[in-house]
Amino acid sequence: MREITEQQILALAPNAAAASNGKKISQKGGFVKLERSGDDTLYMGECTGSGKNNYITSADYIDENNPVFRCSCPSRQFPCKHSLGLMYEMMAKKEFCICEIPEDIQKKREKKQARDNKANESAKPESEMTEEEKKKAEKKKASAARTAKNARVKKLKSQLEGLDLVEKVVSDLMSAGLGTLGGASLQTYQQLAKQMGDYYLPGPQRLCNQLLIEITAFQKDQDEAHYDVAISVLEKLWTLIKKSRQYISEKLEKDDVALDDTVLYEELGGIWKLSELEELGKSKKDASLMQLAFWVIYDEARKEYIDTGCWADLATGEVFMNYNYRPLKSLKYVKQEDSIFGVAKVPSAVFYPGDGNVRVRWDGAQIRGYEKGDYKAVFEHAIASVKQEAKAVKNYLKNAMTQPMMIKLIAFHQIGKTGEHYVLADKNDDTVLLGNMPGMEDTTIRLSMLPDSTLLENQVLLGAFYYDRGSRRLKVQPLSIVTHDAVVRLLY
Amino acid sequence: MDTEPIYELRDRLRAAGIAGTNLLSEDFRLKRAFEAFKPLETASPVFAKIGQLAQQLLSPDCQNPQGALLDTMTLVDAVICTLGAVDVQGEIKPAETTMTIQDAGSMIVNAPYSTLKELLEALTTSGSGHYGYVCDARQNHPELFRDYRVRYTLVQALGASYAELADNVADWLIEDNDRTILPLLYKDFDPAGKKDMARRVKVIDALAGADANDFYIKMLEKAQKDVRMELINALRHEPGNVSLLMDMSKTEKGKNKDKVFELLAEREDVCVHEYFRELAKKKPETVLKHLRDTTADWASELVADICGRVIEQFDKADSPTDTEKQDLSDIIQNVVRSIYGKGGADICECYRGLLARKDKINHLLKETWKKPKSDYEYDVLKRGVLHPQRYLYDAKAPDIEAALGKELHHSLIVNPDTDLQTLAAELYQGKSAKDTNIMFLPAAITVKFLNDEDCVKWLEEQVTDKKILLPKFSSERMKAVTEAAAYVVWDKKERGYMLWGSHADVFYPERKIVERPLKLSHAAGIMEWMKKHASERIDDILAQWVAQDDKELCKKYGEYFYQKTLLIPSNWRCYIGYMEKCDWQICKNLGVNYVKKNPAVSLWGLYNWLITLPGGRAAIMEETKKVCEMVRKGELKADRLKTDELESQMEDWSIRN
Repeated sequence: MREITEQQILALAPNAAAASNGKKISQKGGFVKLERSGDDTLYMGECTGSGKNNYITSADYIDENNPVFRCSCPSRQFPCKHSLGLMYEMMAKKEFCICEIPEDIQKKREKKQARDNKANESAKPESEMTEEEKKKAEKKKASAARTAKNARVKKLKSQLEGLDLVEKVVSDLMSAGLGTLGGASLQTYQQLAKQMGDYYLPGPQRLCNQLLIEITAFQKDQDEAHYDVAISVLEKLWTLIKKSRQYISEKLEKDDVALDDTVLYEELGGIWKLSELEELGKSKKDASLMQLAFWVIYDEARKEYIDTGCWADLATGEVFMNYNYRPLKSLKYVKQEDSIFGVAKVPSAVFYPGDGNVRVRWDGAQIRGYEKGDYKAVFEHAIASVKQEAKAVKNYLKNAMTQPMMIKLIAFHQIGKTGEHYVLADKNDDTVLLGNMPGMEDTTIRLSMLPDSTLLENQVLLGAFYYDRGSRRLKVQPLSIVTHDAVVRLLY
Repeated sequence: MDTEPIYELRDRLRAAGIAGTNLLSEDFRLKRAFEAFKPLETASPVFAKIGQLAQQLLSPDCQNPQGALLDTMTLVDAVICTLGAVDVQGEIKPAETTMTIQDAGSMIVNAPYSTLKELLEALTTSGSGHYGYVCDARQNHPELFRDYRVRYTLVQALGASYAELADNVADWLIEDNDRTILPLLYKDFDPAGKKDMARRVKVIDALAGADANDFYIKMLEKAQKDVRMELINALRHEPGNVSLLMDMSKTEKGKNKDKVFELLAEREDVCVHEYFRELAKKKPETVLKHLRDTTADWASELVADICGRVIEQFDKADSPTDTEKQDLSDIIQNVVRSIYGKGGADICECYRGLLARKDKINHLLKETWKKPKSDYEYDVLKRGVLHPQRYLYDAKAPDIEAALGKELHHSLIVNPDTDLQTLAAELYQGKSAKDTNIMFLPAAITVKFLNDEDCVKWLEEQVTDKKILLPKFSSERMKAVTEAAAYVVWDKKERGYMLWGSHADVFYPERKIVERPLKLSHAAGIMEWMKKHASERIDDILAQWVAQDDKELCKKYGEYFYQKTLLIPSNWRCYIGYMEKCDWQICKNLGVNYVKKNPAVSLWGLYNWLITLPGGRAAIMEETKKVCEMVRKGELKADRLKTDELESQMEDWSIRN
């Protein structure tokens, strides 16, 4: 009988409600029949539901790390509440009768195996191929490369064309001035922003949308802060236009359209595939990443929720970000990520191009609980001097194209107060003011809620450096406090 | 180096962006800012570069002023970022945390975003479903309420716009009895605040009691309205507050003043006694008003003393004017209200004195009687002090004898004084066995209960009307029995009987409960006797008398209520509750019978009936099946019932439960 934990179920559930509903089904005796295969790879259940017939649900563990859930219910959620309910039955160690693996499951397994074999074959190392296979593979590869290149050239040319449109929008805006943007002109700009999608430029399109959102917001509340954000967006857009145009032109001139290690690809709206990043050598084997903070924000310009996980590499102390985008339109069908209180053992972690806290992704990881050594590693890798780090951070933040924050592990001697403000002092008694970044939840207030004052002495802070224009200061937003035996999250 | 000019330049560039580059040539402020910046150009190459870009922007020959403006702004912003200050001047003082406690670790709960965020939002923002979410979380995940973020938010939620949520949060904090929350309650306390602060005081009062006495006194200096009332109430914990309360009785107004007197009246203190005695000389009405709910001996003496004077005054009033009549009537009513809960020989004399003048008093009351404005308005002459449980002496005219009967009965519940017990027997039983006063029957029965007497035979005699030639059962007298029995309840928590009532003149939110443990060895026999004279009212009393830890008794009365449900034509839902109390597990035919008696039952009506039946999920589904089958076969008439839909809904219910 398989060992299942509630955390595993919650990690698989598309949302908390689905897990809760699954739990209810299990608790209230919704399963009228439970069976499992003799080799412990297949679990099945017959569950009563609102339909005329009972639902047949199964969990197939033929691939240990990637179980497959199947259910006869019409739900579009995946896994559905019945599959999750089945897992709760497994967790509760209910009695499962031994059964034969049904024929339809066997067939599905065979199909999946065939698909995997095909994928493996194409990924077969050259040394293992016969001469004929090699020729065939080379021919196939060359043909695919040609097609991809042609498509990419076409896309780059279109993007170049689109950048002219974006530049025109920016120039018009600057000529007339942001203050003159009103009802009719706003609509015109919204139309223009829409057109950017036709040129494979969703990145600039999002920036334009953000700009228009800020202007609309200003018209509602007359808060001048919206203009500051709008101008920062314009600066970013302008820099992006200039750098992208140069980058694309050079690529086309050199006839080298292959993907390379640059943030511009993503900024323009490209979506990286894990394999592409791996080909660029942007991966790390057997990484141990410790989640230290988690939060969710809503990006109005993207019309997406962004689940953000903040992970520290226990080998280096670098902090990486993990983003899960959930478009508003398909919110129901995309699983929301959640806080993970542990360390992800990642066979192959893939990193995105860029500086600062780059994005990390992986396909399959084992999560284990925190261990003493993890806290020790955090303490070992935390920066000791705020002063030294501040210089590097400023150099990073000054770039209009980068994220407006840089998250670091900071070893501190004390977190205290000067007047009404929270201040962090490092071991050398160099100080930095703590604050809250615009758009983020207030975490400094949570420092005052902490139940123990020793949490504010000689610990490590996971903090986000940011530049506060109002006070002309570099500040740090506290996210979590790491002690020698716990992670105290100020967010989630 | 003074870097101020670069900030000024940045502001002017930003303003130019808002105004548009079309107006650049007229922007003299930007030009002036650029002039002020120029001396910095020599300070570093990057400043020189800014100067160069700004020069180009302001040049009339600039081909692309829009691009130049954005280039300049981008560079200026980048430089400003690098100039950002880091170090903080001044001494760093330790930051205050809520406390340093031993088990701080337990307050750091690793709750995931999905759970915690939703709970924090539900506690701090208004919206549909928030209340339910918080209540569910409290029930299913109580550990979340230990988390330091949630604890802080709970204190904020005491000011939730949905008052029911705020009240629940206050109750939970009291229920948890966790004194470590106190620093959060003291933090940012505003004595001039509103309901949220009043709730804070309520929680502090419950958790800290007299330990927070200094806090109450300090906050009283500026406290207002509800907060003031709660703070005054909290002063009751500390016996040393008597002199403060006596001072406050002279300065407080309205409800606050009443509260001060109420607290003073509860004190067994010589100074307080003396204080009220002095007050009684000038303002007897005030003293009667404030001593009405206390059972202290000195209060009994004082009320008896005032009552004596009132009777004297009443006797002397020969031909009073209308105003004098009204004043007399009012003070007599006040006396009647105030003798509630008082005991001792002097008080017994008051009862006797008032009853001796009953005709004259009734005549006065008839002349001065003012009908209450609403049914909820308290009226001691009609209803006594405690909420009527089952039986109302709804006399058409106010009757002093009926009122005193109620008063004596209710007084025995709160104060089983021996003199009062003797008085009850005396007033009920006249000179001969036939001569009894029904008005005092509930009080006489309560005396039997208080003394744990085997009174079955006696009860049977009392419900027989003997004044007529052929003695027979009197339903009026049985009503008086139910009135006494209705104040007796089985308390599941205490696993024993209680005399239980609630004050009728103390309204929400200050519901005032009276409860007193009661030894009732002969309960089963009395129940059996009551069952013989069964009515819906008696069944209701039987349900509250069933000792829930006596399985045999539960089984017996469970079956009794089950059979009754099958027989009686109405009031079924009460019987479901009675069966539940008896842990009765059979629902066979209850669904079928319901449809039989209600052929026009709707789907929802039947659904709501079925899901409340005893017996659990399987038995209810079995009964549902039976109903549906009988309806399909035509054995049961149910015109509006769609059996498929009923089955489908019941299946859903079955899964959910």
